[in-house]
Amino acid sequence: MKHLIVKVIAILLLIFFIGWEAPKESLEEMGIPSSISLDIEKKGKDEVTYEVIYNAYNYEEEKKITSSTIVAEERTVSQGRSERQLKSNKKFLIGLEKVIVFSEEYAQFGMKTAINVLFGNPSINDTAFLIVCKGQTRAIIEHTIPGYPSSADYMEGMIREAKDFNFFTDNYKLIDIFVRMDSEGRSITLPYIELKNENEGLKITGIALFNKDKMVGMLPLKDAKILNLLSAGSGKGLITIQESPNIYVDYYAKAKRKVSCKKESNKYIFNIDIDLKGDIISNEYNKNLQKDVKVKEDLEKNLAAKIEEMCKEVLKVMQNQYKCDFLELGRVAAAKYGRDTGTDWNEVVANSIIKVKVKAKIDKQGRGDY
Amino acid sequence: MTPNQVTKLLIANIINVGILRLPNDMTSFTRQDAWISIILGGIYPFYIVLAALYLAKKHPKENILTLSKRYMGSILGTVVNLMFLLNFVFYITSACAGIGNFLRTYVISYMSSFRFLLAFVPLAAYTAHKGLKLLGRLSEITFYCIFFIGMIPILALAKGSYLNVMPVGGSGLLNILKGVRNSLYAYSGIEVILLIYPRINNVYMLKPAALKACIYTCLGYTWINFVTVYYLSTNIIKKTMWATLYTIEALRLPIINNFRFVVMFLWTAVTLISTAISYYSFELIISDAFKEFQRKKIYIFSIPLIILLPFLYGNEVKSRNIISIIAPISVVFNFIYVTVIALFARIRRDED
Repeated sequence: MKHLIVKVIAILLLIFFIGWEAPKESLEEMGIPSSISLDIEKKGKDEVTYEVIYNAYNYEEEKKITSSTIVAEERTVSQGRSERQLKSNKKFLIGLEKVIVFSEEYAQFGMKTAINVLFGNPSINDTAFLIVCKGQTRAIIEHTIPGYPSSADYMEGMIREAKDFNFFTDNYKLIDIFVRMDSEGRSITLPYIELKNENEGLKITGIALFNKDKMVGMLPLKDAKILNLLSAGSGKGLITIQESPNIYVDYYAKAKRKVSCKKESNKYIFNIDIDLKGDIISNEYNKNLQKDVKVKEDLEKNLAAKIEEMCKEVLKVMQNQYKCDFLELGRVAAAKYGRDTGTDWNEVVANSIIKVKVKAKIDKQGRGDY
Repeated sequence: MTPNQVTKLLIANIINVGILRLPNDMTSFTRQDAWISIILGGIYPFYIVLAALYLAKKHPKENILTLSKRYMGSILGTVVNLMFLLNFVFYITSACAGIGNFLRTYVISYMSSFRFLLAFVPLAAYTAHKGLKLLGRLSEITFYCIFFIGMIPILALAKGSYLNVMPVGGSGLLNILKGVRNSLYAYSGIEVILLIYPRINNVYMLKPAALKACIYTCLGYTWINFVTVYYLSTNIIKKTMWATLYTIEALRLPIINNFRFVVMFLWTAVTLISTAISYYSFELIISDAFKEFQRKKIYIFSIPLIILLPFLYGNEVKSRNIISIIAPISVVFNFIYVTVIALFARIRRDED
C-alpha cells in the first residue's frame, strides 16, 4: 500500500513536471486562422515586400463565428509573424487553416519562399487547399459571404467540390504541392479564382500553370477542362458536342489516363490513352439513340474523335506556347529511362511527339429520352 | 523467456526512433533502390544471430561476456567487454537524443530537452530494473504497436505511384552496395542476443526465434522504405527530416483529426521499451565486470550520466552527423568481437 502511494505520487509529479510549461489558453483566447494568404509588392529591382494576410476566427457569444483579417507587410514571409503580433490580441494556433491563397503576382514571382516556410512548420495543415487568385489577395479574403464566417470556408468547398465537373483533379492540397514542386518530371496546376465584383462573387475561371515554383500562365476554363482531362487523377466532367443550337449531345464522363513512352533515335514519343466512361445527360442528336445499337456506337466514335481533336489543340498550346510539361509525362519517361540524369523534361516534352487516343463509352442513358 | 518473447525483444531493440529517418539515411546514395540495399544489409543481423546460435550450441549456459573473459583472460576480457558496453551506451543515448529532438519538433516545442530527458531516462531505467521477463512481455505489446503503425502506410499506396520507385536498379550496382553500408547501422541492436541467449527456457527454440526476428525486421525495414519512396519520391525525402511520418499521415480518420499524435504516443512507447532493453544490457555488462555493484545502484548512478550524454549530440543535424561517425565503428567492433569469440569457441572446444 505504501509503495503504491509512493508510485502514484511519483507519476503525478512527473505529469506535473512535463506539463508545467504547456500552453493553457482557452479557445476564445486563441486566434485560429481560416486562411493564410500572400501577396507581393515589387519595389524597385531587388526589393520585394510580402503582404501576409491572416484571416482568423472570432468566437463570439451564442455560437456566432465571425472572422477578422490582419495584414502584415514584411521583407520575408516568416517576418510577417512578428508584424502580425503587433496588430493582434491573440496567440495564433495554426493547423486548422482551410485554404492558402497566393496572388497571381506572387505566383509569378515564385512560390518557393512560402512553400518552404509551410514545409518547415510541423503543425501546418497539410490538407489545406492552395489557390491562385487574380488581383489583390486581400480583396478576396476580405470579401464577405452571408452565412459563412469567412470567404476561406467558402473557397474550401469550391475547390473540394470542383472535381465533379470540369475534370478538376484532387491534387491541390498542400501535401500534393510538396511532393510535386521539386520532383523530377512533375508539375503543378492550381485552381485560379477571380472576384469580378462584389455582386457576382467568387468564381473559378481557370487553372494556373506552373513551371517548378513559378506560374507561367493561366488557362481559361475551356482549355483548362481539357488539360484537366489529360492530367492524371482527373475527376468527372461534362462535354458537349454541338452542331447547331438544336442538335447537340451532353456527355458526363469520368476519365482514366494511361501513359506510355517510347524513345526513337533521341526523340521521345508519348502515347496518352484516355478511357472515358459516362452517361448521356441530354440527347438532342439522334432520337434513335435508345433503340439502335449502331447509333450508340456511332455516337461513341464521334465523341471520341471530337474529344481527341480538342485534346490535340490543347497539347499544341502546351508544347508550342508554354514549352512546359503540365501533364507529368516526364515522370513516366524518367521511370523508364532513368532518373537524376539532369534531363530537362520540359524541353524533352515540348520537342516530343505526343499521341492521344480517346475511347468513349456510353454507360447509362438516364431513365428515358423525351 | 519464451521463444516468442525473444523474437519480439530482438525486434523491439532494433526498431526504435531510427525508423522514422531510415528513408532519409538510405536514399542519399541509393535513391529509389534503397529497399534493395536494406534487404542486402540484412546480412549483418543474420551474421550476429548465426554466431550467437553457434555459441549457444557450444555453451548454452554462458553468455558472450563469460566466454570472452575465459578465452582472453579476465583483464583483457573485461576490457573488451567494457568496449562492448559502449555500444549500448551509444544505443541508449542516440535513441534518447533522437526521440527528444523528434518530439520537441512535433509536439512538445515548449519543453526543454533536459526536462524531457529527466522524465524519459528514469522511466527507461525503472523499466529495465524490473528485469528481462517484464521486458520480454512489454516487447510483445510493443510488437503489436509496431505492426499496427507499420501497416498504416498501406493507405499511402493509393496515393503514391509506382513511377517513383522505377526504374528498379537504375541507381547502379555501386551505389546499391554503398547503400548496404548505410543500412547495416539500421540493424544495430541485434547484439543483445549475445547477452540473453542463456536465459531462453528452450534452447532448441532459439534458432527459429532469432531467425524470425531477423526476417521480420528486414521485411519491416524494406516495406517502410519502399512505401516512403513510393509515396514521396526520393526528391522530396531529401527535403524532409523524418520522412516515414508522411506515409503514416496518409491515414485520415474522421474523428481523430490529427492521427499524428496517436502515432507519436505509440512510437514514444516503442522507443522507451527499446531504450529499456539497451539499458538492461548495459546493466548486465557492468554487473558482470564489477561483481560488487548492486543492480539498483548501477541504475541510480548511471541515470545522471545517461541524461547528460544525449546533450553532446546536440540538435538533429549535429546528432545525425555524430551517429554517422560512431555507427560504423560500432558495427565493425561488434563484427570483430563476435567473430573472435566464435573462433575461440571453435579452437578451444576440448576444454569443456
